[in-house]
Amino acid sequence: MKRLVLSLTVIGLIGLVNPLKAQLMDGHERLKKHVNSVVDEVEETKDPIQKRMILDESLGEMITAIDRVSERGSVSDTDKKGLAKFKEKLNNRKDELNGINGFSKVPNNQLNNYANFIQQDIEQADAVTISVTTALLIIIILLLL
Amino acid sequence: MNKVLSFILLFVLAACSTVDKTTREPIPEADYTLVFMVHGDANYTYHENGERYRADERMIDEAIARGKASTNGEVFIFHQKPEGKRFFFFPKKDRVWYHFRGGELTGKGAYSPKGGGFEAEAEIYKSMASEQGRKMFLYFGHEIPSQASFTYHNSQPKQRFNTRIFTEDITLFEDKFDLVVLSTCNNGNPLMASGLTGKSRYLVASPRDLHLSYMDTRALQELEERPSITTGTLADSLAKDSFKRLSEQLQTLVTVGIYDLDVIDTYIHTWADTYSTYLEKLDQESLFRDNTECNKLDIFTDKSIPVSGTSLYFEAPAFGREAGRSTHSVWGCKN
Repeated sequence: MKRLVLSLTVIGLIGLVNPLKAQLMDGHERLKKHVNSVVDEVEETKDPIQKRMILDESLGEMITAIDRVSERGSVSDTDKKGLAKFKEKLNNRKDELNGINGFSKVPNNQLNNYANFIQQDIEQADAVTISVTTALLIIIILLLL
Repeated sequence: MNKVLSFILLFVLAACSTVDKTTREPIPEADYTLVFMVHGDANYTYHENGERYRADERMIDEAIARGKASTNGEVFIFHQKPEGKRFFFFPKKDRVWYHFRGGELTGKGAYSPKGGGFEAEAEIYKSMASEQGRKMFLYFGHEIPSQASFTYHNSQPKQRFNTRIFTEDITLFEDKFDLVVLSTCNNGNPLMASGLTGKSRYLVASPRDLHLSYMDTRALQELEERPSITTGTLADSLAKDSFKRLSEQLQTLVTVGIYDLDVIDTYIHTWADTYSTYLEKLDQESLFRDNTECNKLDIFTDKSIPVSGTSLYFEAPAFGREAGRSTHSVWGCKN
């Protein structure tokens, strides 16, 4: 009887493994949630100087997180290339926000729309071409920054 | 002990059972058949005004509403959800199908995929589809890759899915559809158009990124209110409505193309062959980049792909390098 109970317990635990793994691993979900919280913050802020600062700092932090993740030996070459593309996209957004490297500066009255543009561009199907684990690493580093 | 084992076996077998059909009485033939194929085996989260949505779940709700509203037609809905395994071995049959005819739900069930394409879905379709009427296939998901190199079905990373599989498997449903709608990124490309010639009369697709809020399908109500509407006019209405909704709510670039595949059939194949050869030499990672216009590729700069039989609804993005541009090609390619 003890064996039977033990076997059923093991089978039950195995059944639980996949949903738990999925919950822990969904880095893309968390990355999108993070970006959304930045957009919310920008929209809730009235002062355009503050809005620009929030966006600038958030983009900067994400770029830093990408740099740190890219340095990790455990990250695959494919993900490193995906990270490089993602970083290039974020750098462009930062440049446009501040009107450098050939971009016109985003006007103060357009900052909410610009925050939405960044979010829609990232959420656009397939925009984040990195694995879920690498996306999760970015989130972990963002939390530590 | 035997009783306990029998109980466990019965439990597992019961968990594998499939069909949950509703009782069916003789039902009339349909004037038209719509197939909604909604991929959900990947991340489909997006936000709109701060609210979080799952694109596949939202689309399923819309497709079910279409099924109920299609009193003269027939609607198949396939929700390709992540396929799990019960206790590592037993398929859970996580995917779900619905069948509506005459506005009534005539069947619903669970199923498992067979491979990375549409074999399982086509078997269900074939077992109950109306034989007459116009046939339309609508796909909602991430970009269908031009070449298989990336995981498409997250829960089944080894199962391949690409343009070749899509354009072959679509014939498992019908020899030729009247309309195919691809609510995906970057599939308004020469390879997809070439692969669908002879298999659909019209194609609606985006040559660039398409937001996860997807194409607008409300124009399908025209099939009820104006049954004589031509498929070409309907394709244009679907594209126009989609463009209007997307461009009103998005700051990003919006492109929705209409492709008359019978016209395109007369010229596209050599261009598609050239593009296919080019793709084989491209970095694998580049295959998942957003498209650019085909005429920006070195192979097409001297001679652009013709545009007869095509039209495009286009709005430039509010920001970024492409802000303010006034024209765009209907053909998208990887760079």
